[in-house]
Amino acid sequence: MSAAPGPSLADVVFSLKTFAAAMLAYWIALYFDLSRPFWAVGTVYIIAHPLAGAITSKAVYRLLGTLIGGVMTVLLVPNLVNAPEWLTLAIALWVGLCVFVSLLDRTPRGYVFLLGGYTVLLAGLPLVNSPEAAFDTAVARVEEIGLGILCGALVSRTILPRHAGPVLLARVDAWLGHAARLAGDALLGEARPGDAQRERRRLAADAVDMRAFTTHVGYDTSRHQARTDLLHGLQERMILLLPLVSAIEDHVAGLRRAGALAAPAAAALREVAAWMAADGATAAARVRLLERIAALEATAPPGWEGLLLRNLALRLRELVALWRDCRALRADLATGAARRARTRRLLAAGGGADRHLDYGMAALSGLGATLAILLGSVFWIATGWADGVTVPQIAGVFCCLLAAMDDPVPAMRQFMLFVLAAAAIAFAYQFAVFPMLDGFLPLAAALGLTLIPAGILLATPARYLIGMGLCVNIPFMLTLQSRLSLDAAGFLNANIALVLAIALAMLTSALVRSVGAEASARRLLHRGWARIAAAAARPRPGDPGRIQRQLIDTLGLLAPRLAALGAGSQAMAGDLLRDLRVGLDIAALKAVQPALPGPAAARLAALLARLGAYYRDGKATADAGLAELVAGIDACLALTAALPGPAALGAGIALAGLRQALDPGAPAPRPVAALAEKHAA
Amino acid sequence: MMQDINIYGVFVPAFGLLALAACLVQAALRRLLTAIGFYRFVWHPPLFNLALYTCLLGTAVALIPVMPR
Repeated sequence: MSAAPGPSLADVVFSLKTFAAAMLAYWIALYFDLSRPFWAVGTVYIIAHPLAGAITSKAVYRLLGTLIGGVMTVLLVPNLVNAPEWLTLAIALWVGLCVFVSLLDRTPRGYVFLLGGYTVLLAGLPLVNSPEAAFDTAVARVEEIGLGILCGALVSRTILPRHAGPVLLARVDAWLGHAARLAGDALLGEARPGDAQRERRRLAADAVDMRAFTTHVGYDTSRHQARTDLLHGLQERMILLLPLVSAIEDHVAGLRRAGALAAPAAAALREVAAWMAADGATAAARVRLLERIAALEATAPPGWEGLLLRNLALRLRELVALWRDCRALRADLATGAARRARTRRLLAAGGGADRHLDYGMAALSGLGATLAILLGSVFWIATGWADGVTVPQIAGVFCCLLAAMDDPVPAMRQFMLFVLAAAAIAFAYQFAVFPMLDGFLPLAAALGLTLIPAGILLATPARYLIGMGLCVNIPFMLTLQSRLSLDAAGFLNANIALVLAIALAMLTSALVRSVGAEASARRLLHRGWARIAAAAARPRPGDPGRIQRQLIDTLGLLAPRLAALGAGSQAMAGDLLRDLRVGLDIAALKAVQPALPGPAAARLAALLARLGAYYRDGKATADAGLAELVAGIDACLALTAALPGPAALGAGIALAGLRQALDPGAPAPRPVAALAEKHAA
Repeated sequence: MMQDINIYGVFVPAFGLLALAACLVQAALRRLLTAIGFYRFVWHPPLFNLALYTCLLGTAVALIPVMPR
């Protein structure tokens, strides 16, 4: 997302609202004489989000997580009172477990587990020294976080609420626009290689972004439940578009190279592109388009070019159907209900995605958090520094919050700078401004001077981290209380401990799990190849939708990593899309294989086995087997070309697709061409 | 156990100062090692950096007599 040129009115309103909520929480906490009012103030800023629905979901998750953590604190501490070492170990392990579980969840819901983890850490760890306060601390934390959440949610929903609906529609439209342009480039064969790569990656990243967004939308208001389903449906279709467009691009290029892209085919491609770009396309236009494509198919010559053309026609028909689905879903999204029969059928057909779960990575992240807490605790006890307790606490919290990143270290380094800035601002407040104030109103006004501008930063995603670093840290650093305490040593101690904590979190993250986007992308790629190999090795045809969903899920995870990588890795994005098409063609071949006569079926089975081995051995090691594989496909193509019947034709089309996906640059196969000549003669 | 150093009225633990100094030295060394391409031979750079830091801090504590032994 590009950085906005300046703050919009909506951002300013958001910041004012958040500040009002924070001050409301502060005032209530002071009124009831709660022990740590700054927890409530900080919480308001932690859950702050420009969209009403997102606040509610974050609030619900945070409340639930805090409750779980509070219960766990009350369970753990009294039982292990007499063994501080065991208590520390138990807390560290519990946080590690929570990080592990939350990473396996892979949705914003994972926040529940994170919070369950570090509530124990924040409320429970100081009790290693003074266990008698366990119950009070746990209750105070749950109370004050609950207060902050209630104030934040209340203000954001009652005063000028900004619902997700219009924002959502704008995003969906932008998304569809990108997709139409990408498809148009592929259809007309106009894209320069770099452009298409970039567009494709952006589209995939958008899809991932949308998935996170959808979870929040569900919380906007209950009557928008239909909207969540529609979004899910749209998302699935948008991702399906990617392999389709990639296939069309390769086929158009192949036909053009063979000099077989005749005028009617080129005209049909142009028409599809125009239809996709047009806003108010009618049903009649679509029917005409489909007739055009069917005519293209009927006039396909025999031989390799004919197969390519048939394949292209097949993909075009799929593209038209898919785009029609997208349009229907978009139209229903605008009204907020699944009205059309078509969308209802679409939503019913969607299966649950097979999600890719990386147990190894999740376990490493959990280990990182556990290690940070243990090291920090050792440091705290060994130095005998009272404020040292902050070190394991905050280091643990950082490991939790940034657990989902491939390489959290740069983000932590950046955050460290904002923490230092926040410390300077807090220092100025504490010792220069606060002594001159008396009463709640002047205090709120003084805080507003920094918190309101910083809150505007919170509203733009690109500057979210800066806003977060300032807005959340300042209240915590000031330890806003009912009475002012001018304790320079205490202030310095607390802030030095905070900086050390971030350094510790950076250290353990770097040691245990800083893998970087490159390694992570490679891991995902190998995972995708293993799935293709498994699909090729499976004896029965199986569900083609299943492998598609699996690979698309992997692709969705891969996309943001590829976006983070440099130009050197661009080839990889194209590769996985092509591999995805290989997987789909394998499924198609498996489906037609039983209908083929004995020798051809056996030949096909041998080819699939070789294909499986090719992917199983890690494609990356060498593309040495590729030429043999293409030769094998050519042999199969020659066999099927000689056979009559729809099954043989289907196999031929799938084989041609497979060949284009594996090696798009390969010259037209000779045996088939020769056969076609014989056929013609 | 730890000696404090008086810097204009603020008492700073000597160990803390040594740790900070070691940190600076390590940053300089790391830059040098990166420049000569040393890290190509290192299996896990963060682990190597931690070990390097420990060595530096240990050397500082052993050589500079601000810590009572």
